[in-house]
Amino acid sequence: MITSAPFDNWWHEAYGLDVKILSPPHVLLFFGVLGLRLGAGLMVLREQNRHPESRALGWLFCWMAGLIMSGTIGLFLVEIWPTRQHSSEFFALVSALIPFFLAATTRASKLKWGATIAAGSSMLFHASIMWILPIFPATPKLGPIYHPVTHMVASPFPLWTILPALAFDLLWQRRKNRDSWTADLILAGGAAIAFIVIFLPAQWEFSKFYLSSGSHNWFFAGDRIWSYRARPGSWWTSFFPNEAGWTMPSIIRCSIFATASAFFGFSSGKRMTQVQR
Amino acid sequence: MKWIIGYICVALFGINLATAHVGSPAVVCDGLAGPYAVRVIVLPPPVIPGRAEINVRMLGQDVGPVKVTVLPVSALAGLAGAPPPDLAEPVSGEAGLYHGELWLMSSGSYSVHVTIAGSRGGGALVVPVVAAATRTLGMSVLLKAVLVVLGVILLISAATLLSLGLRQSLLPPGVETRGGVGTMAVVFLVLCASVYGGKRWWDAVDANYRHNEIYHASLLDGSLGRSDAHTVLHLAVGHDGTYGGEALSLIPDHGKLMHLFLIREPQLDVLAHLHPARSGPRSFDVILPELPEGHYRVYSDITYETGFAATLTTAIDLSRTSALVETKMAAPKIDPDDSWWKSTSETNAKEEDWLRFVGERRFKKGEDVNLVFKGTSASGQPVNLSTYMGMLGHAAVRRSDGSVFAHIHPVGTFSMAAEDFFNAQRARDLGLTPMVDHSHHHPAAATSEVSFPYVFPQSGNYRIWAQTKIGDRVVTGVADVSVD
Repeated sequence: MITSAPFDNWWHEAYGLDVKILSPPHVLLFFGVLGLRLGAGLMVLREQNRHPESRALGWLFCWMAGLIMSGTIGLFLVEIWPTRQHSSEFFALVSALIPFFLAATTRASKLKWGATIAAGSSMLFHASIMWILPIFPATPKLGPIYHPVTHMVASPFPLWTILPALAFDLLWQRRKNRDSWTADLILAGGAAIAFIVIFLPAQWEFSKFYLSSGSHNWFFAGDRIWSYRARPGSWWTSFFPNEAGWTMPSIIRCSIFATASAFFGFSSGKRMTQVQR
Repeated sequence: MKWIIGYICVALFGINLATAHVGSPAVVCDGLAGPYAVRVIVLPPPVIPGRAEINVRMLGQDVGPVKVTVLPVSALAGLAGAPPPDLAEPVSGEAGLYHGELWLMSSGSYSVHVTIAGSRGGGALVVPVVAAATRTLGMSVLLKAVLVVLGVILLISAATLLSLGLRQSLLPPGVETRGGVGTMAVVFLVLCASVYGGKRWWDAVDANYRHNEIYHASLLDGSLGRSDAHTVLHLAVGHDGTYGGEALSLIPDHGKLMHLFLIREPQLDVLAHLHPARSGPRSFDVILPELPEGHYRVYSDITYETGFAATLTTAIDLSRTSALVETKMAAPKIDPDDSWWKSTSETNAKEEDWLRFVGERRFKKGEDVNLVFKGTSASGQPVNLSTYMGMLGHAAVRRSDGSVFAHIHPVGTFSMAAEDFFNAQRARDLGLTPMVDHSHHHPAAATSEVSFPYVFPQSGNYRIWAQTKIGDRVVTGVADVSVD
């Protein structure tokens, strides 16, 4: 994190005072933050594994897992923006990212609904930001201002990760007690199917709703996500850069990514259950 | 129309990293903000988004404390899209000098509204500014060393922590393991691959910046032909396919869509200030005067309809122009404001008798200075000057190596077309009737002196050509100065 500071400062002088999230110095900073969270997560994991009967520690672990998932998803805020949620790029990104967290959490958690609680925590965390920020009056201090906001801008409604998380928990609860990598791979394949069948259609439909006037209220904050730099126009309610999510090449790619991601998650989750210190 | 290149070698040097002017980013504006005479100096950032520096200097007699605010207004968004103005703070130890910063968040054409309020009332001055990324930045040796050392520490620490975490976190407390070199090596390799991936990403960002973010002036092609016994220079803007056949949307500066300067290199002993006429959507023609043979650098000043001023450059070689093939196209009309100057001595050009440079010839880079020329009769008496294209004077400043070129005026270094555009935009935004007021372009009383405010961007040797009128005749004064 300290290293990223002079690097980011130089980056701004070299390429401009960017407002991008994804840039090399920001990713370095992200890894610094991730290191802290992983360290805290390992300590919570150790305590949970030493005291498996403690529901408080179980919840704490799920909360930590949710926070780590939130931070990672937040890094890709631009790539998962509601207007991009019909694109094959969005499908591929979430397929590679989310199954890992859900699989690892459901396996490592001592709670029956570990992944669900973690995903719920993550959603609640994002939603809290979305609900709290617009309460505060604020006006832009920089220009050009194409959208004269009067309050702090919300982040979009969180991804519906709680839906596939339920499926992952159910799958894990109903697994056969075979402890092998092939069993993990089969389970990952099932989880990938569940992810594609449940999450992607749900998010597809929700994003359609989100770009409509129906989301223009305090709960969804669909009308509060655009910053002062965003010139109002039809692109606010149009999907970008394509709507190729449900094409055969896209689904094949998602299946591979989601299976690999879930498999890696289940494998990691297994090791996490063995953490003792 | 077929333009014959033939014996004439037309060299193309169409790309530069300058917006208005070449290598001369500072904008200087002398004007009136209501009752206050001020000089505004804006130093745009070399990269966008970035922060511009702005200095506002009160000129003339002491007017007491004033409140100075500065506001960058994008041409695309207007006042309705402008943020609240920022206060320029007085500079301690410099009476009448105020300093501020301007956040320029988008590339393109801006105006800076400088508003002054004090005991004499209030007023505003509009200063055109171009925001564009113009440089690439290297990394200092010190910063490189710091980042490399920190990076190596991070890499080794991360490899150690991860390999230990992978092996020992699964063991009961107190139990130690030996070995683990293999795990560490694998982790190290994975981390190295991540660093390599980061480097590839950085390279891609850098390449995109160099190709798409840095401002490149449109390509300017120059070719020569003969028409009606005249040598005609044909200029084509942006014929590299970037714009297709889309017409250039320009606004006139002193009534001219293009101001063209031809300077013979390397002697700098010939200067022509011409005004090509439009001959096509993206092309201009101009009759060349009888210029000596040689290699000429061509500077073309234009202002787009967004108030964005640009200097396009190319070069031509003038030799054996009589051998050019006659074309069937009619020659363009000669603009009555065209003028040119040849040194009386090919090797040691001196000031013309009619317009002399006044004052010291040594300056410091980065400081705002006045380049003063005085009309003088053959007997040494002061001679009053007349306006030339609505201004008391026009000047071209060029560093000896050509890395700096600026076309400036007594009111400053900005495009007059951009000034008109932004004053009209401000009036519309305020619900007023746009009016063109050029009363500040020339002094109220007759004068024998003309002064050009300027900030030299680099040290080195410069030549300055100043042009004005004495009576009905355009006169050119030349001065060589050095900048430390």
